[in-house]
Amino acid sequence: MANILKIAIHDLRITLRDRSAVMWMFFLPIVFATFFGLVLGGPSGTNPVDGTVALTILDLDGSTLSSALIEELKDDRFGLTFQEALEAKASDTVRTLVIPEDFEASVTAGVQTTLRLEKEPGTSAEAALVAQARIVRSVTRLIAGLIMTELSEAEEESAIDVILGEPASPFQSEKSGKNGAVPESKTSNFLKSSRKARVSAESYSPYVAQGNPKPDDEISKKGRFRTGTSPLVSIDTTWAGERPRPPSGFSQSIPGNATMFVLLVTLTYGAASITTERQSGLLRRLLTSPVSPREIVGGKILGRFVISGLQVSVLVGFAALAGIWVDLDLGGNLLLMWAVLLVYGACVAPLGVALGAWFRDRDRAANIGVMATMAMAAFGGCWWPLEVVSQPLQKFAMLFPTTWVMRALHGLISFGHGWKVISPFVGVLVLFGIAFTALAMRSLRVE
Amino acid sequence: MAALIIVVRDLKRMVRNPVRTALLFALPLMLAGIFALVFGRGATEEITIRVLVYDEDQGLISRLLGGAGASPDMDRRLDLVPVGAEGFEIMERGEASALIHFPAGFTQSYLDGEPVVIPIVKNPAERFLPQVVEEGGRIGAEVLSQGSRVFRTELATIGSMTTNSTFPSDLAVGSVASGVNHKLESLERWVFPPVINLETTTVTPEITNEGEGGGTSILGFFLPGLSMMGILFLAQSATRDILHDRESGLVKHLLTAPVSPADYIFGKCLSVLVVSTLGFFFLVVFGIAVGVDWGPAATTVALVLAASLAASGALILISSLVGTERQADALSTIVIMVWCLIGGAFVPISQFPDFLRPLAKTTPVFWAVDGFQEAMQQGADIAAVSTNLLVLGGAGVIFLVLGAAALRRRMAGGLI
Repeated sequence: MANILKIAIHDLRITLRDRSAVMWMFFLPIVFATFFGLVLGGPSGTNPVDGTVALTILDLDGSTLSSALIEELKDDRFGLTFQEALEAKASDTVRTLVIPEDFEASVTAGVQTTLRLEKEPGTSAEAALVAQARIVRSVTRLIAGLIMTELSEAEEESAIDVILGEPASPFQSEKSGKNGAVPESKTSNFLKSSRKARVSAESYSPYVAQGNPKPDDEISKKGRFRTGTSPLVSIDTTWAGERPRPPSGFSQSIPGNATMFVLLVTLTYGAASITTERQSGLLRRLLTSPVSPREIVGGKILGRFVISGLQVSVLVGFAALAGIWVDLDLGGNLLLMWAVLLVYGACVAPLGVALGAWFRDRDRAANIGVMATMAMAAFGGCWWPLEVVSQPLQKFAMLFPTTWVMRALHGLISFGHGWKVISPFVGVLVLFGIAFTALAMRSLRVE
Repeated sequence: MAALIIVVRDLKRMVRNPVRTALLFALPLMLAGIFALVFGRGATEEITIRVLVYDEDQGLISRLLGGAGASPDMDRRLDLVPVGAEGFEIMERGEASALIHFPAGFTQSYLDGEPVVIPIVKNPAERFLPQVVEEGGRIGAEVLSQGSRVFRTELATIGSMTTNSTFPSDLAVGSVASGVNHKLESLERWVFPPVINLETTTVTPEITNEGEGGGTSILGFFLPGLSMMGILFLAQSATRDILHDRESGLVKHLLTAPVSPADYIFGKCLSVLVVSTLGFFFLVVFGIAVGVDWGPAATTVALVLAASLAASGALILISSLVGTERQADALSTIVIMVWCLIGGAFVPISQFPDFLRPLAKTTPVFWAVDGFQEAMQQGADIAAVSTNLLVLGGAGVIFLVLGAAALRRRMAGGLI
């Protein structure tokens, strides 16, 4: 055991003397985690999780109905800016809702009209989705407002017809247009005689009455179609797990980059040094000392683990300090995070040894190591949450240890779970470690 | 002449070691392939949202809503899984994107016109899909709320019918049916189909040259940035030779031959430039082979030349400032990775926080990626990307001249 430890410590010393290795071990993971944490924390100007989504309105119609739609949008947590028809688009525009010229005329005639949500290339898909959903909600309220207005009018007319002794058929009249054309609707009439209709709508909808105290001003005109902001059915969202607040972009970038760079250093520097030592005959010469071949292989595996252990310790230490400096919440259990990453380091250490044993050229081993790392990191969910990949790829990802360490780390960081919940994932890592160790013992033969 | 011999010698070395050369190109190609595999059109269509539905109510409305995903359109994307209270444990294990909970008494409260809340539990390890479920749920809640207003009378009648112990009379049922029917007739022109439709598009500026440009695939979106990264690493590998030649004593031997220090430096700089340019053209050809439209050929060629010049110049300058091959490796790798990060090789600049955006313009990666994207998306001609070409070419020449001068000085001082 003493020989194994000596070989491992020696490997650590050699690695730490290599500035390039030190940079890949400590500097670049921190730079990458910080950068991607900032980027994933939400694009500037929009943060759909917090509620405000940037939206530019291009109202080509300028009608009462388009104004009513804009009022509805204001209720839906949009950061609205406005663009005039002939005005150039502002440079910070991220998405634009175009209200077409004939919006009110088409809607009141019952002809389908299309609002266009234009996304700028490369802008956040997440924010665009939220914007799309909120626009649909606003449109739903607007249409409901129109329906309520029409229904209330129908009721009024029906009451008048009863008084005048005429038959009450409020809905049949809608279908009496020639050649399939929809006749001028009650809503169109309503637009022309706004006061009567407004009073009617207000009497039907308590929301409208609450929101529009002055019947003659422009605001109340817009408010005729509005339905208010107190829906009968509401949604209450919470996060699973024990975290009091949703995780930030760093909860993906820190575990993702720690996982990737531990693997990268093991499969590049770890593998390349084995290749060099094999090719230079250093491993063979070691046998002239009182060290057995098994001890040499064990020492090399332990060496890779010690290097990754140091790397993990520094990265977790940095995360702890960052937590103090910038109020970064990583779930509170950094000690467990450190332990999981140590198990992962132990799991991939023999893979580095095996890779080094398969090649005769140092650069080739390192290049293959880089590519293997990138593939495992991407498919394992280090670069993006696995939710965004297809089901077949999610199943494929289970073949890599990166997937399991990421699940364990998300259990700790995103869910705030303890050891008990994440232990199955760590168990899978241990199995990977056993398989890789067997592979390394078989691949690296020191004779 | 001596300089050309050095260039030819370096190219021959690359040809003699094809595996090593291929590995230099393999990384950007593999990364582009992974991006295409994960985010390509076919791949994104296969993403399924797994949503648990815990229907504690078991009422008419909750059962209707719980089966909403059974429609053919939604079925492919939405995997609605009926669960009991154990659904919360499944969520704790992170095995679904969200859980929708219809609490006991939901249907009755809704029919009675009382405010009701639908709790949604989201998976905190996911970022995008829980948001989709939440926004979808909010739309559903809005529709239910507005539906309740429109059909208030009928819903209230149905509510009272369900609470009565006796069967409702035919007249009462007929009255509700008639009321619903009349209102549906009235709604027809508003909601069947919806009178206001929403169409979502990504802005793609008009393409002036037919057949050129034409928007980008996912692979096309990432390939310029990844190619730039590949070329920077290729230039790093090529410039490493300068220091390797010194450390192996080759430079001293060369200078005993009829090769002046200026010839050697010029030859090495030219060699790095030729290798980088050929490498970039190879990546462009690969892109074309897999269906990437780089835009107008002249613009692409000009950008490849300018970007290769910038990459070669930067790496030569770095290698002229350091003492050993290892130092060069460490410093140049930092520069390359930081440039690629903040230059937009991995993530579009528009996703950057505000304070990072101006920094992007300090990197050649930004100017190269921006130029290629202009050509790909808008079919930009050379004039349209002239700023990009000037910045890349200008920076390349400055880097190259400074680097060559520093190498010359070090050679004169006996350091090389």
